[in-house]
Amino acid sequence: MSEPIIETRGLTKFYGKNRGIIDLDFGVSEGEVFGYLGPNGAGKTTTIRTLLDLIRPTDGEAKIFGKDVRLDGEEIRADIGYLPGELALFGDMTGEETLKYLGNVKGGLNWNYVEELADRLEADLSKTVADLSSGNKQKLGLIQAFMSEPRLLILDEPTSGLDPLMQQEFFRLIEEAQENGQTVFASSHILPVVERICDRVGIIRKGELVAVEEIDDLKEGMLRSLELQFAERPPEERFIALPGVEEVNFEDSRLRCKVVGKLDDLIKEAANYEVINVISHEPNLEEIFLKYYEREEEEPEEGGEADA
Amino acid sequence: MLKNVFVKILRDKRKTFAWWSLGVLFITIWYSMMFTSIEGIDVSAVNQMMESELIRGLLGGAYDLTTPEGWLGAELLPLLGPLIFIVFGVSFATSTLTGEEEKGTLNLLLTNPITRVSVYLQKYSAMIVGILALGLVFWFGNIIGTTSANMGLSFLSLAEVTFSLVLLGLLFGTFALALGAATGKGGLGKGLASAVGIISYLLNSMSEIVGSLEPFRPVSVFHYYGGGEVLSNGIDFGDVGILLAGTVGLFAVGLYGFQRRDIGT
Ligand SMILES: Nc1ncnc2c1ncn2[C@@H]1O[C@H](COP(=O)(O)OP(=O)(O)O)[C@@H](O)[C@H]1O
Ligand SMILES: [Mg+2]
Repeated sequence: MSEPIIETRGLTKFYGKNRGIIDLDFGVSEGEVFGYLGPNGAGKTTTIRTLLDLIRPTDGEAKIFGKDVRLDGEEIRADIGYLPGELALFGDMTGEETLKYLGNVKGGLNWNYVEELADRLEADLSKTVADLSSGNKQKLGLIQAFMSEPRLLILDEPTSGLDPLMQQEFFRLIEEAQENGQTVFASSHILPVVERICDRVGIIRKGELVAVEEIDDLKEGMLRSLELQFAERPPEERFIALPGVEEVNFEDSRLRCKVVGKLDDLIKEAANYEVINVISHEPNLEEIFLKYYEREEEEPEEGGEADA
Repeated sequence: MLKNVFVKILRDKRKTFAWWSLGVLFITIWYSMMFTSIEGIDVSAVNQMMESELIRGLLGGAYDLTTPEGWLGAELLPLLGPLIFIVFGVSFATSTLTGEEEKGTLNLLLTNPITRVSVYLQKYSAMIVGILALGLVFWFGNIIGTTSANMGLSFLSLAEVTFSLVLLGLLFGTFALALGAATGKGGLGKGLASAVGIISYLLNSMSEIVGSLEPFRPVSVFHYYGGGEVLSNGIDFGDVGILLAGTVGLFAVGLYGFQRRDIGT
């Protein structure tokens, strides 16, 4: 792969005695859309704020564009667009004033592009920020992150507060960014969001990176809950016998089961009977974690969590 | 407009500053105009009262109210003036840097290609401009007031006394700004600055009558603020030097601390 845009080594942050992140090692390559997935309190924001030199690591180091975030922060940040997890804006300024100010501080403001972004996200720049709903504030946050067309976008929970339509527009922005060769690092606690936009995913739990996987591999191992409604109840054994199909459970002519990885075998078997409906439930974060918990619990040295 | 952090603060402060200016103009002009109202009445009784321990202890000295210097020196200069400049300086200081941190916008600001040194310097220089501007208003108000009341004070001595107030405001503003910058706790900066201000004031004025306090007087910041004496004797450059040195020291502490710490969410 091409040169690493983000690289961390042993990155650790404790807030006094409180665990923030522990010993993170990961890399993000140029042009990649990297998802940073984990439940609330996992340490996503801590990681991001360390990368931006807002907080200082207890141990370890982080590099962006090959430079140390502590030593060359100013230079690095010239090429970063950042959306904070908890976005705070200047309440008494309009959207336009806010973006002009931030653009000036950043340098190289392209107002035409700002207007284009505002158009696409349907953001009203003439309103005072204090009068905006949280979704509309989030739009301003996204615009200011994207407006400088930075080499690296660091987005902390970017879809929070966006309605589904704007979420789609946001996905398109990410796709375009990727086509432009920009790199994206986006945190989220929502799996479908990460699944939709990312090439690779880092999974963080209780401050530790438990896995970094290609999104396709992640899906491969994913446990999916499925419901199939048949016209008539088919023989149960045929389904129990299928590889990768678990927890087969019939209720009259309705089959509930869990499937690891591809649905191919199950669907082909089901096609032998009259299928009325298929409902597939998105695997949620818990289920993904379950998989990694299990893997971890097989290892003996677990238990360091007790004092957290 | 809104070119940088410095300009933005001035923009943010324009309304607050307008209100402060109105207040200062009103107080300074009205206070001098009051001087005309004591002409013709016998103030010897009041002057006698001014000699009393209590009043001297509160105001830090005795003043002859029949002279312009005494009139201004009795209340405006020892009490109201410092109060105005200290409160203005401290609230300006805490609302810019730690204020922005508490609101969370410092987060966004510092993720720009800008160093913490630069943000600190811009916030700090905006505070200097604010206090200097208020000084100009104070001076202007006194010129109008004393001229209208025919008090015959020179503009230069009014400027000198204003300058010593500006220094006082600057010192306390720097104290609050630096402490907030170094710790991230705006309330701490504000609280400690106020406490130091009050204790300093009382220590300085009370040592006028309580002999045992006298040795501690040099500890008080107010000891280096001339007040009414500046009007009669001119500014003391030694005092100016000490106030400035304190300001520079605090400024440096804030600058150092701000670069090293975590920024709050
Ligand atoms: N300023 C802070 N002081 C103390 N603890 C903090 C602070 N910020 C975050 N934490 C703790 O660090 C952990 C990680 O938090 P965070 O990075 O915000 O998680 P996430 O963004 O994944 O929800 C949490 O346990 C949180 O309580
Ligand atoms: Mg977070």
